[in-house]
Amino acid sequence: MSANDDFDRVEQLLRAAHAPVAVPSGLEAVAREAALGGAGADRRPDVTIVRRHIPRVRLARLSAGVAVMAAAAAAALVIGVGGNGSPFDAQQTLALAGPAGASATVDFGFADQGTRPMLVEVHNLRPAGPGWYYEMWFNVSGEKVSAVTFNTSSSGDATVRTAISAGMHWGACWVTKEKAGAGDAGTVVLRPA
Amino acid sequence: MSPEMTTAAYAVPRPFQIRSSTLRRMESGGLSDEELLEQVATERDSEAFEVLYRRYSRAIYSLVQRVLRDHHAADDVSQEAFAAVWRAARGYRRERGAASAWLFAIARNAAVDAARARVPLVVGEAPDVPDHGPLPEATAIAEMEAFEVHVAVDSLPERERDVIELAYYSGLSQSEISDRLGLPLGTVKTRTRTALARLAGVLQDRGVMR
Repeated sequence: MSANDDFDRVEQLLRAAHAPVAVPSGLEAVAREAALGGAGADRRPDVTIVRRHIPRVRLARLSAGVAVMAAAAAAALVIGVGGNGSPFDAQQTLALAGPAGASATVDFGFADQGTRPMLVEVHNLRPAGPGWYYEMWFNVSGEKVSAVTFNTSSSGDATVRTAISAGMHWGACWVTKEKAGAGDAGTVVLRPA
Repeated sequence: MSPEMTTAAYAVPRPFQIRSSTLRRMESGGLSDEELLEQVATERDSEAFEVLYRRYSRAIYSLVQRVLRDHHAADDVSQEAFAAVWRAARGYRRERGAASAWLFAIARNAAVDAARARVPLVVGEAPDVPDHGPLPEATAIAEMEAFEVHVAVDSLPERERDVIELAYYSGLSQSEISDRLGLPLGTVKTRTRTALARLAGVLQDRGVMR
């Protein structure tokens, strides 16, 4: 094989490989901590998936009235329209999208003392209506785990701050519309864009 | 970490199992990937681990991202993959394949496990039509080739890496690269050819090119 043939093949491989993804700046420290722990001791690192770190509201077990109250309380988490208060230092952002232009961004902050702050900003999602609410879910090791419940303002916006476990490894994130007291069999309204 | 990592040839496409490892050494005369991995295994050497991280982080992250198509999940799975490298380094056997193949297998297993754990967002009947997508073997080979190419590009001297990335990843012409980097066009051409030759050598050593 000639040098030109080699170059052609290398060029072909480079183009097929596409550009590598930039590694997030914070990942090296996280990976080092996960692998080596505090002092690089020879121990199994603490990276196991933690199940059910997020408090889960079992609405199906509640009476309808209490469930509505729970949804209303969750709606109180809606801080405002178009942003709020202190700035949020995001490490990663996940985009969600739904029908009729509904969208959301989920900012994941930096882990601190076992929790990772999360900022959810929702746009163009119609208010769920009386007796209904929205719920954000993560898939953690094949299991649905509720992250937060919320509602939107009349303009379709919501800003919600919450936190998840810093050690939680999740495989998908989505938002459903749920009926209070009807369990958690709602319909998906936002999914990864 | 799956137990088979310690008992079987690494689960990489067959073409990559044929060649023995290249002993890719750092510019400073450092250790090969295989030697680093063995140091991690026998001495629990955190510095060796960090050198491996620097060499492979972008390729592993890109591989995981390619499988999962999810940035945030890629963070966690990449983190888990490196933790698995630390845990399972003792299971690495040089005679069974290159360190890069072992690292590829660990990262890909972590990504595939995470992908399988996902809850399907839409449930419906499977369509009764043939799947014209690439066969699993072809997909695995493409993933392995991309992984090795990314590692090889990251091993280039910075001045050559910049030229290659601008040309093949950003799609710039050599004139545009010349303008972007403020270099004479002839220098850009020379660096490109030098880099391509270096990459050809590395990829031949690693069994990607024949």
